[in-house]
Amino acid sequence: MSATANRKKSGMCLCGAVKFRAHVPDSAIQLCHCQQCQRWTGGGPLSVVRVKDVEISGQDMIQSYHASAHGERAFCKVCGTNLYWKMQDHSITFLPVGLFDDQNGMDVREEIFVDRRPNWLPAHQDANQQDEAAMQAQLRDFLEGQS
Amino acid sequence: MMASKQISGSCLCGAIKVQAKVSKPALRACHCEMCRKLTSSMFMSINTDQDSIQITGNVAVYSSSEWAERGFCRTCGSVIFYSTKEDGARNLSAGLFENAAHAPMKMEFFSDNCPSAYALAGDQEKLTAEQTIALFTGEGDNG
Repeated sequence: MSATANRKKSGMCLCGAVKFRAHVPDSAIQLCHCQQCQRWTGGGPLSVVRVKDVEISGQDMIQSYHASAHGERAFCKVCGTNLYWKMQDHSITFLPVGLFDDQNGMDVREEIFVDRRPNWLPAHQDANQQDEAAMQAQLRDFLEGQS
Repeated sequence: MMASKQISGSCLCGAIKVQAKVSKPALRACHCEMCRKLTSSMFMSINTDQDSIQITGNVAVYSSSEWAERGFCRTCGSVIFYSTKEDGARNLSAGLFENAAHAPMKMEFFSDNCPSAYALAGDQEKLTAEQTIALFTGEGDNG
């Protein structure tokens, strides 16, 4: 692996109180159209990119909220930036695209909860499309794998 | 004269409740860098009658620039509004309302800053960064 591919990408929230660095292995954007994400972001999709080995500074500026029995949503206490969604008691696997200083090459590869996608957002034809039923099935499989 | 409609909504956790009247239903998408940082993708607002807006609950307000503030829920982090300091006008998040209150998409701000990942459908008016700034400041070629 080249040094460039191995380099972590950096980013931060709107006010800069929370900063992070992370590996972005495949630049794959996932758009989530679920109603919880729409309420959270103001109405657009939650747009996240797959990440590994996340380092965060400003941890005490992060507030978490459990909107469901499994999910955790985190935001900056100072500016309200949507920071991440993750499974409770698991590490961060996706971070919002908007946080990154360099978003070059990031491309939509997956859309989830597509039955909730508003009519003004066209589907990405080449991206994997998952509806709510498929996502519920994935969650069940994941939780069964845990127990 | 078009009849106005009363709409009500809430943040994700329900701590913030909003009510407003809508006379000219319209959704607006903002693609500026600050909105994309805050929301991950774009900020969607709904046009409501300014004097009709009622917000209950503990909204945190962040001053994001000399001219604007952003409101969010202290409990769940939902984006509640974008407001301009000079006139106090508040642009409520469309996502607070079920199906964005069925308002049609009418306008895109900072359209030249929109990444291809979020290119919208429809023939709504698109204002570039320069045109958007001119609209709100009254400066520049577009008056």
